[in-house]
Amino acid sequence: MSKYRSPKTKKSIQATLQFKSTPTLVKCPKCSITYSTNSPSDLVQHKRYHDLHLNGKRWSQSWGDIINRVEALKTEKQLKYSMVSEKDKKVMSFQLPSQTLYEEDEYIVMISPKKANEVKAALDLMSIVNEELNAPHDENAFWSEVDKSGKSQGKAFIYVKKNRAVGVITIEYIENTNRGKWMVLDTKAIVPNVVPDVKLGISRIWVCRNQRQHGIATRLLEVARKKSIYGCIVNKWELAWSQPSQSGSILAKSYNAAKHRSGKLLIPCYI
Amino acid sequence: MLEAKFTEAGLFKRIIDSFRDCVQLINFNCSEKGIAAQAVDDSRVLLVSLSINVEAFEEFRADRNVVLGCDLTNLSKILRCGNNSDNLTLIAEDSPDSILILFEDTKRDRVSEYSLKLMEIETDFLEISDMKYESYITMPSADFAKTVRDLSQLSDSINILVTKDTIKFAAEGDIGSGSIVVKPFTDLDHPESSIKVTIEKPVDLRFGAKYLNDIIKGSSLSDTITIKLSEEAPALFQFDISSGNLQFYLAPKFDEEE
Repeated sequence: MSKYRSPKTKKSIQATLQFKSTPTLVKCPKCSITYSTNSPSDLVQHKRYHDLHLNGKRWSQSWGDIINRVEALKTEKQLKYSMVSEKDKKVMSFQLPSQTLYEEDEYIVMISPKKANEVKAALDLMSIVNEELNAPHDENAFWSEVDKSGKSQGKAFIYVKKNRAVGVITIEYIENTNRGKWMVLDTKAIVPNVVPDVKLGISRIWVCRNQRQHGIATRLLEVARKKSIYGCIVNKWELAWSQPSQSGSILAKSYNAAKHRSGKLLIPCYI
Repeated sequence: MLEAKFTEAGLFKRIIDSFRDCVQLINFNCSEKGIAAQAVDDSRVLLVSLSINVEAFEEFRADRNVVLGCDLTNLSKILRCGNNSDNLTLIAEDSPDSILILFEDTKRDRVSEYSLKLMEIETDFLEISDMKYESYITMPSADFAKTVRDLSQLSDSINILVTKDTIKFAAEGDIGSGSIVVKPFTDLDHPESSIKVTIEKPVDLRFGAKYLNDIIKGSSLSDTITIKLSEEAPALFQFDISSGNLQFYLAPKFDEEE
């Protein structure tokens, strides 16, 4: 490789203009971050945060084992315009080239706790998730670490779309414990004295804001139900929630709520 | 009611073209004193400040203070529709949501009229007080423009070093380095080609070439440029028009601290 003989020139930093006007604080309506429009560093920070929370984290194709490819929706659109001339009844038509409306690379990966780089990427993603869910940041060990026998206590699945991690679910194994409970959906009250034998616990589930309402969370739940325990498909009601957020409750309601005799909707959860 | 008439549409067009590449949105503040406008570029490094005094207009009338918020890309689209020699009149109501732009070709009795929708732009107008600088340079704007263009090929920063009897422009980049040294002189026959230096204190400053390249677009307004420099303040680059001026305040660059 050819190189210049002299060392590179020194870099310099650009100063910015400061105005004495009072800083104007703005709250972004989309990512609900409050920042000052007068501070360039605030603007940059907000842009990063905004992009990360709304569009997800960039994801390398080498991270995680692909377990499920989501079928790309291919719709061919052919438009045909025709013009009929009155005189000779000749028909002229032209056609637009067939267009592919959706051809997105979408898949779900499972994180292997033995691969440090993908665990790190997933942990980075989880810190965004926990920040947004206001959840503790130290509850990752069950999927990110293995015990002496090489087994983990849970799984993490990540939904990748257009090279960005847009959704995640982390699952805890709940075996032979009495942690399962039924929760009344409206009141968030725990039904006493009943211990459903749930198998899996949803520690976190999250989809970035701009990708919600596309069925991503449901697909993640389905994958978690089918692929968490090797060779075993868990029943929907055996998949338990933990303190669902408001949007989490809506998801739980449509995914695996059960109707009690009293008419109330119950969801499986674990403590 | 605002009515501001330029004898030549070309002047207003050149004014707008001088800064429309570095700022997108700007408020034109119209008052009995004339038209003033200010805007900062997105990176908050360059401040553009324009003032066109009443004397620069053929006719000027502003009954009340009117703020015209414009998208410069759109304004310049309309300004391109007129000929440089046309009369240009800006007309606006007291609290307008659009501005009327009138071109009159007096020789051919041809009148064209455009209306541009105005925008609500939230900015404060800053009163910039006259401050004392450490060095003042006046030189032909075309020379300064060429200097900036030439040196910016070498580096993304250009140094300006002013001492008692020389001005040195220098750039050092990955491919090599270059410098241009000019000395003050007075041309009595063509005063506009003179180079004048007044210094309190020598200065050595570095600026982003990108911003200097934006600034030199003002060269079409005036044969000369005045540069005012201080170590501890934003530099001022000024182009004078017949009555008024276009000023660029530029924040310098500093060595990266180790």
